[in-house]
Amino acid sequence: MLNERLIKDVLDEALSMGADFAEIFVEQTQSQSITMISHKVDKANRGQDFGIGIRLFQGIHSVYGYTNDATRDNLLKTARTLASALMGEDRVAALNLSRQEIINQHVIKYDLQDIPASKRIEKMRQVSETINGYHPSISQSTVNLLEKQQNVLIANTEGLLVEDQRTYTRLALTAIASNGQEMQTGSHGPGAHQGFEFIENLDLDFYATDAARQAMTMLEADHCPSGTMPVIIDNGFGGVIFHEACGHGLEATAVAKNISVFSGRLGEKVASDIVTAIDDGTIPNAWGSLNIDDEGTPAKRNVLIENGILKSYLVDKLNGRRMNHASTGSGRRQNYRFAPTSRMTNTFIANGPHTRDGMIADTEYGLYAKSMGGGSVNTATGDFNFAVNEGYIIRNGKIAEPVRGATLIGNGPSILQEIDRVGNNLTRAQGMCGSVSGAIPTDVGQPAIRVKKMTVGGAKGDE
Amino acid sequence: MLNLELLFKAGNEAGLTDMEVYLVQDENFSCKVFEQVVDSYSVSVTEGLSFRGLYQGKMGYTYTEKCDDSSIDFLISSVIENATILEKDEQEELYNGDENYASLDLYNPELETVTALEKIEFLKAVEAECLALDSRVKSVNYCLFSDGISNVTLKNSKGLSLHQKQNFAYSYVSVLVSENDNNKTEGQYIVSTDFITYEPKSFAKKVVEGALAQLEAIKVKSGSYPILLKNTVAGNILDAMSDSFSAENIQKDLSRLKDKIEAVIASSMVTIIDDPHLKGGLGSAAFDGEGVGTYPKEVVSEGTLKTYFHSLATAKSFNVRPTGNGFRSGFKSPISISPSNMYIKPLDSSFNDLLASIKDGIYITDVQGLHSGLNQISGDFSLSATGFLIKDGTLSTAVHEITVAGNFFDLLKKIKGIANDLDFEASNIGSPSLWIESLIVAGE
Repeated sequence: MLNERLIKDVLDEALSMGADFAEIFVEQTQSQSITMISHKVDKANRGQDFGIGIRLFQGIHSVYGYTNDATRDNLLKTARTLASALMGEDRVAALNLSRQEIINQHVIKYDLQDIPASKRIEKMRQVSETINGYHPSISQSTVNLLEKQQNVLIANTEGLLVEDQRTYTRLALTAIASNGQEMQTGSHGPGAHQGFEFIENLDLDFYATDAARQAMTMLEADHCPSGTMPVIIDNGFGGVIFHEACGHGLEATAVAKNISVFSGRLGEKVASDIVTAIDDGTIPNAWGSLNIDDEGTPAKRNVLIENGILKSYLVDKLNGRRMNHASTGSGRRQNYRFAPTSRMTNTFIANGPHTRDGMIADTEYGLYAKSMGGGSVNTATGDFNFAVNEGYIIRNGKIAEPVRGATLIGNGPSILQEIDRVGNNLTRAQGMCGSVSGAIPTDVGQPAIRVKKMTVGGAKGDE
Repeated sequence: MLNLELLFKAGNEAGLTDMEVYLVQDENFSCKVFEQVVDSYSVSVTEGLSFRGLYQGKMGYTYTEKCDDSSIDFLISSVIENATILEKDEQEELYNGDENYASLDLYNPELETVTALEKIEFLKAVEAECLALDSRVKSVNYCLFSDGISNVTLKNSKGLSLHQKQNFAYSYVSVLVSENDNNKTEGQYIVSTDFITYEPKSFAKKVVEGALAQLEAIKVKSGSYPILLKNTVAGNILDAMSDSFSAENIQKDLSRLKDKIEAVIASSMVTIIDDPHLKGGLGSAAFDGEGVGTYPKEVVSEGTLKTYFHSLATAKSFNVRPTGNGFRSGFKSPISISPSNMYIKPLDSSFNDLLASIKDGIYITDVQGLHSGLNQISGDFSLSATGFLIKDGTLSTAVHEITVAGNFFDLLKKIKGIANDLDFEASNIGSPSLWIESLIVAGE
């Protein structure tokens, strides 16, 4: 995407005023998005992103610049402007670039251009019709197909020169149920680091039917009662609890500055014995997987918590300098407009000794969160919140009436200690994770778990 | 730079009738300080354009960040392909332009004279001041200054040619305070292109006081409580629900305000204004993303819904005048209906007047989870919140780890008082503090 001579010259220019490390990130991305509303193609957009990010370190200082003008003059000027923001004397020489070949772990069958629009629309229409045909109370369906192919080139003054291509496909579908007074939604968003073959192999009817079922169930549900109670969170997207309550707090972005509740706690017991949690960027074709991260480091499988003991943080190059710790292959960014920082890939709680049915039977009164929505966390305090998309009250060990509008709140470090059941039905689900380096694809996941005591917020009030 | 004449000519030959280019050129600077050291520093110069055009009566969209003639083939073939597959009934069209456009001053050239060093010195001063104010301040976990210039050019093959230059600047500072293993954070913004408003001492004081006040917070018993919503919180909730006022959402049956024009949707105290000409407003613009001239309007007048927000296409199907709300959130996005500067009109009571009218209740100063705990269609929300107990009309103990739940449309009707303290924080949507009859609170 950029010739080696120019890359070398830009890196040399970047080192001219005292930086001890320089990196160049070149990105060319094509994306295609089609939205269908109740059988009809409503929106279609396609575009190409192109840009270059240049980053310099001097110790733990860093400067970053980006542009989409790839001319030699402009890139040298950008490098010089950034270099002059650092004030130093020492000159470090850049190592010669040596091109590395990627071992591709994520086989892609179809390129973006291989698929005619008619094929995309045919699959989308199938989903749309299944949702709309589910029940007369389903008033609408929205189906969005997003496909993206990102080509990156990463080079740095340590001699790294590497290129990679990442292909993403995601189907986001929403069913809306309405009874004239109220509207409720049900949704799914399966995605993968894969081409259109992902859609071809997907059980479209399951996702469509399940979204419609969820919307219908919530339409008939009463508001959730509020208070403190045991909560069973089912598998898949339920893993958002770990992602928010703990995952963000393990990112070096916060840990390195000692502003995370998990700072300085490696080797300590941070969760109950039955909790093991992993961040694995190497799972073939998973939504959050990468061959190399956005700093060119190969993706890894990192065990974060093992039987309750904190084993590892997620570390990028810059924060690694603060922490005196090697990168864990976690440097990620949305695109060239962001400097990379430590982020999650596919993060999940591993299978445990219990079963979902068993933990429900063991619960006299509580909330069963079958399907979770999004959430957020304050990494400095550990306080998190997230929404329950489909919830039920548990009475006398049995799933009883559905409830809507529930929000779960709590504090990350304390909730990890409160997990008293971990099931054996681990699955993962896809999400977009937003943070300082932008929105990136990540998987969350877990088997069903039970949290002994959690604050549940709902509009019904005390029961 | 892409030669527009060449693009339009090639488009014409390929069968495109009307065509438009929306070009955005940005220059941005941002900088963070941590422990008196520049922790991150970023500069950028970027451009990108959207190209859309009518092919057999349907509007196709595409965008590129390679703004040169080598992209012409890609742009034209993408627009044709994307137009061809559209199946919706309502079709977009390009605008001929208005006779007059408001003349707005959205660019403050004085900001360009402020050096990077001065911005860094400001951040260092704020950080040092925060740490000096109280020993319980553990760190300044966010200390950011960012500014930039944006140039938007809109040109179409019908002869429309508009240009707008504007700049912005803001600072966000957050502190972490700690006492007896109890951690709290508080963040505050300054939003202004006038560098004189960036005064470290008062800014630091505001942030630190806000954080310290939250220490020793308690949970409260679950139940229904009278609520005083802080101006910024009320603004955030209005922001999260603003799509309900979009005619596109009405058309798609995604809003509870459908068929509610001239109906009472809020307490008679409530007037909601959309003012694209507001001085210093983050949503100020002389024209929208389609080139329609903008103008101020009342969306809700004393409780009665007066208008939806319209683009050219929705105005045509509703048979009304376009409201100049067909904005684009960037060159990658299609036309999307949104407010300019939308706010609940402040009334005469002071914040303390409202507070004094509440015997027992909760003052909510922050909510979390608006993107997940609020249903944008139904208006139901259940949000993580922090604040203070209200006892006999005065603020008492801090409250944390609670949720507040209710419904936005009910809330509008349950407004019992509106203060005079309108605040937009760092948004184009603002509100004064609101006294709400009651909301459901979950705690212990």
